[in-house]
Amino acid sequence: MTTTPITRREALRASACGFGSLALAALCSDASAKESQSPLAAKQPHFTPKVKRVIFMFMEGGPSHVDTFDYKPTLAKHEGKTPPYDQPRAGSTGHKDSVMQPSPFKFSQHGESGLWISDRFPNLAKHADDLCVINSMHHETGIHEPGCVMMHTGEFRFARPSMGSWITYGLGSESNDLPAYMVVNPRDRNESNGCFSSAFLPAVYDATIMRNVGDGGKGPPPIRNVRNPLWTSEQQRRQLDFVQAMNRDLQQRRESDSNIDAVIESYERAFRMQTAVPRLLDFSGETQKTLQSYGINAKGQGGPFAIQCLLARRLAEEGVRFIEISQGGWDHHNSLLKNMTGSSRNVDQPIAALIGDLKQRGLWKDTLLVWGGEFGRTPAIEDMKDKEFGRDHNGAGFTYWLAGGGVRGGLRYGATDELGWFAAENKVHVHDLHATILHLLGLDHKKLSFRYGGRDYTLTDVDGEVVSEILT
Amino acid sequence: MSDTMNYVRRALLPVHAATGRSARLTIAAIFCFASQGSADQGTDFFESRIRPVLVEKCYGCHSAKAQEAGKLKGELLLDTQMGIRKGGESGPAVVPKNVEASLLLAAIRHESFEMPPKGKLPNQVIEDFVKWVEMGAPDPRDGRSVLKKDLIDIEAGRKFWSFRPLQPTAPPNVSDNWPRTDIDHFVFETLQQNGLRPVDDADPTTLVRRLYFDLIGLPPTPEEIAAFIKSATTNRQAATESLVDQLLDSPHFGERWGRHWLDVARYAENNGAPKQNALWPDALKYRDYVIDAFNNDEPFNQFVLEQIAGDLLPAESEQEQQQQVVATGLLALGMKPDAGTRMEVIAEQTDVIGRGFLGIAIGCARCHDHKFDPVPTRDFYALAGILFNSVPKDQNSHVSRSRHLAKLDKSDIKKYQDYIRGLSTHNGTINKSRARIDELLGKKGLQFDPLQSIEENINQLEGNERQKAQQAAADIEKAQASLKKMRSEGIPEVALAIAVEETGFKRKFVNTRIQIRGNEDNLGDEVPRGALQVLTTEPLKIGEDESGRLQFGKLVSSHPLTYRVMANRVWHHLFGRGIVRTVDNFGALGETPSHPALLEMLATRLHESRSVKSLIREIVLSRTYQLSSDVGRALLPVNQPTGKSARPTEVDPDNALVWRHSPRRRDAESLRDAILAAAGTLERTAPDRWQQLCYHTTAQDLDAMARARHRAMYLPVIRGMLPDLFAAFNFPPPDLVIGKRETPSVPTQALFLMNSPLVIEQSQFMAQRLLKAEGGTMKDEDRVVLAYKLTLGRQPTGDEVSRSLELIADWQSENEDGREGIDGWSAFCQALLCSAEFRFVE
Repeated sequence: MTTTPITRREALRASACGFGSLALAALCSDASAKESQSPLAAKQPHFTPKVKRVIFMFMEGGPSHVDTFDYKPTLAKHEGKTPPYDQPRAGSTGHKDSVMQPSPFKFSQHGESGLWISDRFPNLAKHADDLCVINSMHHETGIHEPGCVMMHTGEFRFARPSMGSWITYGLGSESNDLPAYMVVNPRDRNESNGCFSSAFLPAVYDATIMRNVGDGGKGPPPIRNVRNPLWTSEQQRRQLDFVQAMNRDLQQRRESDSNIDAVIESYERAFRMQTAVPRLLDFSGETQKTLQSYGINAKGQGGPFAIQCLLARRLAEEGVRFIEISQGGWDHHNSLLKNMTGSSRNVDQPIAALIGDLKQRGLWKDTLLVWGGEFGRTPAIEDMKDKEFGRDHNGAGFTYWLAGGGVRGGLRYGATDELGWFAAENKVHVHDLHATILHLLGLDHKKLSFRYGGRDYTLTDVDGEVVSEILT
Repeated sequence: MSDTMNYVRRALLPVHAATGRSARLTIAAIFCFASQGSADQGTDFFESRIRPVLVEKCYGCHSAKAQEAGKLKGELLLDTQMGIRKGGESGPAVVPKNVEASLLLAAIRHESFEMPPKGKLPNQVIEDFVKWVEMGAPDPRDGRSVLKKDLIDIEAGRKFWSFRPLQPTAPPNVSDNWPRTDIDHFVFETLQQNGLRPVDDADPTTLVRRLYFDLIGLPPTPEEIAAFIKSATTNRQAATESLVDQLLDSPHFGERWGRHWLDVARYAENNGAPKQNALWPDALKYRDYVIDAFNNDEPFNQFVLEQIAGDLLPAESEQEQQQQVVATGLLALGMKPDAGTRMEVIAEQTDVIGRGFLGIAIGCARCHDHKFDPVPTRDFYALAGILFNSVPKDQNSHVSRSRHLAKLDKSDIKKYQDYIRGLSTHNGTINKSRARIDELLGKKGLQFDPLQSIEENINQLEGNERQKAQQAAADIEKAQASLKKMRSEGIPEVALAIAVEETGFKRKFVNTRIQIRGNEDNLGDEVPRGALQVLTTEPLKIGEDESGRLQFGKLVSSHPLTYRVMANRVWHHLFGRGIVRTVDNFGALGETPSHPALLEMLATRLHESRSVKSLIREIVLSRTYQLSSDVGRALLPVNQPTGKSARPTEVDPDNALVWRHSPRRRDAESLRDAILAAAGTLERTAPDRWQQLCYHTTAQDLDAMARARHRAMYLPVIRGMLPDLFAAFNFPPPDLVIGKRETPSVPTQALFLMNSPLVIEQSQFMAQRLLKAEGGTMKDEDRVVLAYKLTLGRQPTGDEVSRSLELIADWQSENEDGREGIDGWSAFCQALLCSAEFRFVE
């Protein structure tokens, strides 16, 4: 008989992509035949990491950078004038009759570093020396939904895995009781738009989403199917013991079938998760002082973002790898003065409290905080008829800040042009930001790849460079 | 880009680099001449003002060193005079004394590209560059820049194993009486060569469950199992053949195998882009088309051709014509991105054609020649040209609109849309009101009891709450009455479909131009419409008044690759692993077949018979398919290469060579259907169009989806809004072409089985079924036996019976709430549904 001969070159290619490459072997192991190992088992990073986890504070709506962390004194000289650009482009929607508008908020320098921060963040300003502000963020869209998807997946046209999924894929889980990637109170449309999806990565790396957090337990449980409506915990344990006994019988008949091991393990993890989730939301063990610092009262009530920040700390303590909390309402098309005041008040004290709390508990050095929205806003007025002016979307230049382990606090990195419209100096694209976040976690963004559809995909596509200037 | 890819690329370099050399020598010669006459002054200017900037800002991505490191961008080398004048893929970077034509200047001024990407250079520096170009761009850097570019050798590509003509060989002779069919001969020989032997045949109980699962996706009833075992005792082979024929004839066959195809077709019922997210009630017609095609065993070539060019095929009736148009839904069902370009939509279409039918990722070639497979960028644009003239219907819209299949009246369309809106409203009312009742009960610490009527449930409430619940119940009744009325009136159907139409561009059939690096503002050559060169030695003959889609469809539907890919998909679904494990990639980056000659034979069979059913029949009747999944106790004989005896699990732990039948996890749909089948609540008849539309319009209500009774494959697939069952059990994301589902066991699955409304409710129904069996006279022991048969298809052991009764009794002693002991039974039933044995098929 003759088999189809395979040339040496074909063999080389096939082996190189299959299992041949050592660099890939570790990362491929989940996707390959080695399904025996739990895909969530903790994995070795590519190099020594600076941090173990990320808390992403997503400011949906697109906070105005020139009114928060991107001080632009020159704007005052242009007040009321038309934008001095041929045509504002790349990411902002732009209005023909709009004129430049300096920030109505007072900026001042804070900390030893003298970081410029607007007066809407009095509490956070006390931590100025911890903040690493990137003023030169940019990407290619000025529309909310694609902007959100872009910040989470690095792409907005096609379904790609979320940053949190990539990180879980690369590092596995540190927690025995909880999933590695958890998202708290996201906006529904962000979920259906794919912000938290594992896309072509195995579904095990999808985010676990907690909803109705902070509603005082009135609504449905925070995670679907995490509470049994009929049985007590003891009853369920007894039921589960019966199931596991059956599974072990099967295991014996099958002899060492790793698939059965995985099933057995998944039930135990699920059972632990059922008790862990209510525990997470039970703040009764927190001191009065801690609660107060976040702005939460003795009954555990407080602003939604305050509750999320405290929850984020508790998730960090539990070893959750990628935590996302969010605050919407930053879409200040009008009444900037009033709206910015409200939005910043929602987050200022809780974030400051979170920073203090993480430090106090020794979690600070292992945690990376990331703050920002889907884009920034134009330094021009959007609607000239609106006396209490607001600003339009702008993806061409905006601000993110990082803080925690591995990043230089008190730093202002990169810049928009002198009026704050376009990222101009040391530009940092979303891909660069993602590369940097992965780097801090000990992952090389070029190596953290997954083969799908005949090609190796990475979070940063073929772009992205680690912004090494902001690293300690 | 991974190290692996670079590694492969480097390994291939010497051959290609040599090809490019002679052409570039000529260019270098011309430009040496051009730079003559530059004075020393010019060189000084270059050295002091230009070179330092190039080194610092540009060489990182545009130099020989960058190329070496795999970081070269835009095929542009700026580190020699030759390189900078030749330029990259967009054209010369510097043209001496011509500021306009020097792309480098446009780039640093941010007029075309924005370079350097990290931020604009200071104005002074930009002016220096302008001045330098005006001076004639004096540049003392000699040295040659050689772009190490892989040139694709199409001829060699055609010789790659998967592109070759089919090469069937006779089954090998083996000196053993184990093999029964041709397939067995191939498999046995490979096993033998690796020192392996097949394990025993599966017992009849295992076999009957496996066949039901694989062929129709449903578990056999206890009676069906018993009947098979009985007839298998007399003549196993005859019993198996007759069962297989019966299952292949079942309407459920198309539901099972149609769903496999829908994974590949990334079937969904909405667009799914964040902004443009229209619902597509007409997409359901494509799903029905696929189910029917498998049930009718439509010739496979026809199935392929119709999905690419059904609208262009002759038809005997209007109905047939419409069906064929519906088939082209394959090309229209993809997600169209917001603010996406036509080319992005086309790339998505080439993805489903390429990977779905041919197992090659054509889309890679949109921006660059395919790095591994013989698909040059030109070929992508040749194919893109074909698709450009066909899809979508409205050139300005990237969202597939329902295509008119006949001349339609606007008012008829409106009637149809209003009707669907009506379904949505009334079903929405029912679901919301039901949720309201659940909520009111929940406040009192009560749980809706599915075994009781709504009224009985409400009667547990008192006072104001009861009134509110009664109001909700009244709303449900009212909405149900409205639905009943609508149903009796019938759907005011109009002939619409999600499909493509051969329109041309402004009524002309045009070619597309290459978009350099996929950038639509950077156009290269126009490419005549055509097929991938590697697929055929004869270019397609495309007239001026047609797109060429028909010709391309004919080529794909007859190409050997198409048959290899499909035969392998069939094998994959029957064994849990393809002969080529990477089912959607038969290119150089795919894996090579574990049984090459067997795959050739199966592909040839499919090519000859065009019958998917025959292929499945042949495979499941092989002895190979019917192997036990037990590992087997015996050691292998000592003819191992190591000279020692070994366990098969040590020689081939992944069972790649098929020495046993690998146990497989039930997928989302068959797990859900098996749960309902055990509970006796499964509605086996396919939902009619009216019912399908009801599901379609209420997809967002997860609890309503949990109460659905039809087979799971009829649940709506709405991008971004999948039922939690699907989300937990690895239903493939419908944005992507996926021929092989993931199969991990994760806590979300455990949570679903432990706590979801669906499983809890069905456990209660199953408990009720046990208690009511034989008029409620059954003994508890017999009820346990029945439960095992309904879920696991087997008798429990004595030990299992006593353990079960213990569990039930435990509950009984605690829960004396007058529910006739149903809680203990439903806890027990749920436990069986949770068991690994239930979740796997051996």
